[in-house]
Amino acid sequence: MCSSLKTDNLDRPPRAPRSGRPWKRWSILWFCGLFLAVQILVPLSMLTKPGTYPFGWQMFSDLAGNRFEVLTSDGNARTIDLAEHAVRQRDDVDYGPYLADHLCRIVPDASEVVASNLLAETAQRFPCAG
Amino acid sequence: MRRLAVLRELPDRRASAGPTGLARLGVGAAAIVEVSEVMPLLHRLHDPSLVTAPRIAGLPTLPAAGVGLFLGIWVLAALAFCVGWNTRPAGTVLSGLLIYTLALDHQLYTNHLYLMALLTVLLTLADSGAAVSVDSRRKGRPLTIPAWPVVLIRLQVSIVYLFAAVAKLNVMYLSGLVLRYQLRLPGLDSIPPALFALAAIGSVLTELFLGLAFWNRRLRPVACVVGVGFHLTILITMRVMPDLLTFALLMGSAYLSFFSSISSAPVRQPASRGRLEATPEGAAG
Repeated sequence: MCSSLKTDNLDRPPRAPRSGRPWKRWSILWFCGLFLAVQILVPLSMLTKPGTYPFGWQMFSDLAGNRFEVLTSDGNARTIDLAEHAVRQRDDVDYGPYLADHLCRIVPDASEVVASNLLAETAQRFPCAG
Repeated sequence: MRRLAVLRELPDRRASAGPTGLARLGVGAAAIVEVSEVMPLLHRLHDPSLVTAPRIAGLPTLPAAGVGLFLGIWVLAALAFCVGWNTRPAGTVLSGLLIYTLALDHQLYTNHLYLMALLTVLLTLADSGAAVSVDSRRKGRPLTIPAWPVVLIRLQVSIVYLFAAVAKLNVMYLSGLVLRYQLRLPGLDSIPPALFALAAIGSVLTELFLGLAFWNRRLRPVACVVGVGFHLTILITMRVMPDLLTFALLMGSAYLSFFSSISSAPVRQPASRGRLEATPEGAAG
């Protein structure tokens, strides 16, 4: 019986007759195709952008260089230590909009939150409502 | 064309269950360890002085009082999955909890948590409780399992390493600056910058090698040694210890999928105790 079984590493053509129900075969093939498409296309799309992103397997591939400032109505700017406000500091999280909401709520006289990336030399401004 | 035909036949193929059972054991153990990392974060999500970043708007959040219960179910499911007791239900519950955690908040994401979720899903679909498990002792499960989840785990190993390598092909990383910032070696300041750049290039080449070498039968043992050495080096020299320990455990478990032999023989019904008449365990694969 052993001789009827061939083992390989996907580099030999299959000899087995097809088994199982057709819908089951197709759902397996669809699942594999979808799984691989997501696993390849999602990280691939992230390679075109600077910085690191989740679901892209970009472990320790870049530095973040993020800086957050809160501007008060009297024109003063205060640099924010992310460690004091984040549940966990991660380079692949875009804290800007979430931190802006949070700081506008908890900092008295906050008029605007500025999220800058020192490496990409970009800045996003989030005015506090009201 | 030949390879394409092989892929079309994938649903019919069977793989030896032993290595996949061992991989399940590793992933289950990693899931138990992961609780210690996730627990404080889930509690911190309820701290009003901290910022939350929900990934999916409208997803029901975990109430503060429910964190203990959530983690209790996590530990029980991970334990059951690890020992292979009611493996499929345990794997399904654990997969659900991991995916929910990833979906809950951007700050809960880690690459190893994501990898853990993917491997748990694939090992559950693979019927990984068919060997090295309580289930197999109780029920006498077949010694082979569907091959397609095993192949997906193999591909996942390559995807992780190859994308990790390609993402590092940037000036910042190759200059050695990222390593200089992440390493926690004594006398770091006295190390010349060129050495960091060299280490950066070396790490990219290692990841490229690991992404490809497991597919070559001759290089596979070398890849295993290089992979274990690579993850040990990371554990010894880098700052984020617990995360990296879990990641190393998961990758090590996923390596085992390359040692599961894949058969092209038709599925045979078990004659006794659910065992196949002949299983080419240990054969190259």
